[in-house]
Amino acid sequence: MNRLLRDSSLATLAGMAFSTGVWADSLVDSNNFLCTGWSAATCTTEGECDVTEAWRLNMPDFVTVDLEAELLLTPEASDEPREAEFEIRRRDEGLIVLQGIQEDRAWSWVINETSGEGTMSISSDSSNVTVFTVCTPTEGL
Amino acid sequence: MNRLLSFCLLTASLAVMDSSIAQPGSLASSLGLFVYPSADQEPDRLELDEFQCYQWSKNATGVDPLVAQPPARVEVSGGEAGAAGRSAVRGAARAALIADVADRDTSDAAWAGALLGARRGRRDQQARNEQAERNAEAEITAQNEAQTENFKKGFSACMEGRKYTVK
Repeated sequence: MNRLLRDSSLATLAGMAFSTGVWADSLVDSNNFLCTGWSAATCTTEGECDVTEAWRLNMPDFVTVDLEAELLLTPEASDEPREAEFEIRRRDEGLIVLQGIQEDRAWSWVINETSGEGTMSISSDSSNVTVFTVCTPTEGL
Repeated sequence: MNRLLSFCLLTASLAVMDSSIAQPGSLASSLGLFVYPSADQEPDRLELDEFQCYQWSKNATGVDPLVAQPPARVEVSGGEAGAAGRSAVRGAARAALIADVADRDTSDAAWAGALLGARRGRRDQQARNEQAERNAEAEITAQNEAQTENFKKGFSACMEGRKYTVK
């Protein structure tokens, strides 16, 4: 029941993000923004690919990007505090590019600074996860 | 009375004789070696010769078996140690954000393969790290044993040069 509720909420949120652009905002001049993954696809070395909701892959519902601290963090209210450091941060030509390594995973995240939309890719030696994301600056929240 | 005196004298002479053989706690015994003074060397002489031969072998081989060898240093690639370390530095116990993606135990059969794949990958990495650690420790143990044997050869050669029988 909880999952159904959560599923519906996320679907609504994702719908809002796409229909009205409420969630994806301009990130220009912002160093701290809140993001959510609205859809995800995963592929394995066996050549199987599937599309699902991001939370089904244990992606946090929301992630805060702190460019100054070079950290991805789950918000304070999150059930499970999680974090990841990034080792590369580039902000150039309207794109924010973040890259890092955590345990056996390497990840890259490219975010359009103007639209707030982006794609995160997480790779291991046997699978890849692509998460489609939307971000909004935390300054205005 | 005479018999008692004879017994005492015999006991005393045996004690003197025994004391000239390497005693437990001597340098030789600590190496697992038995040293017999073939030329009736005195205990003090034996002790001095052992010390000098120990120094000689130490200089000749560069090994001092009575000094504890440094513990095996094993580099383990990747893994949780680094991530845990970073979290500790930040003073907060936070789980991995990225590394746990696609690791949720879900009843959705479509994702079972990916979930198992992610877990299997991590288990394999852990097994590889543990095996590398065991290999490194075994290699260091073998090196230490070879060095100790080399030292014993040097020590024995020196002692035999001074008219001791070493086994």
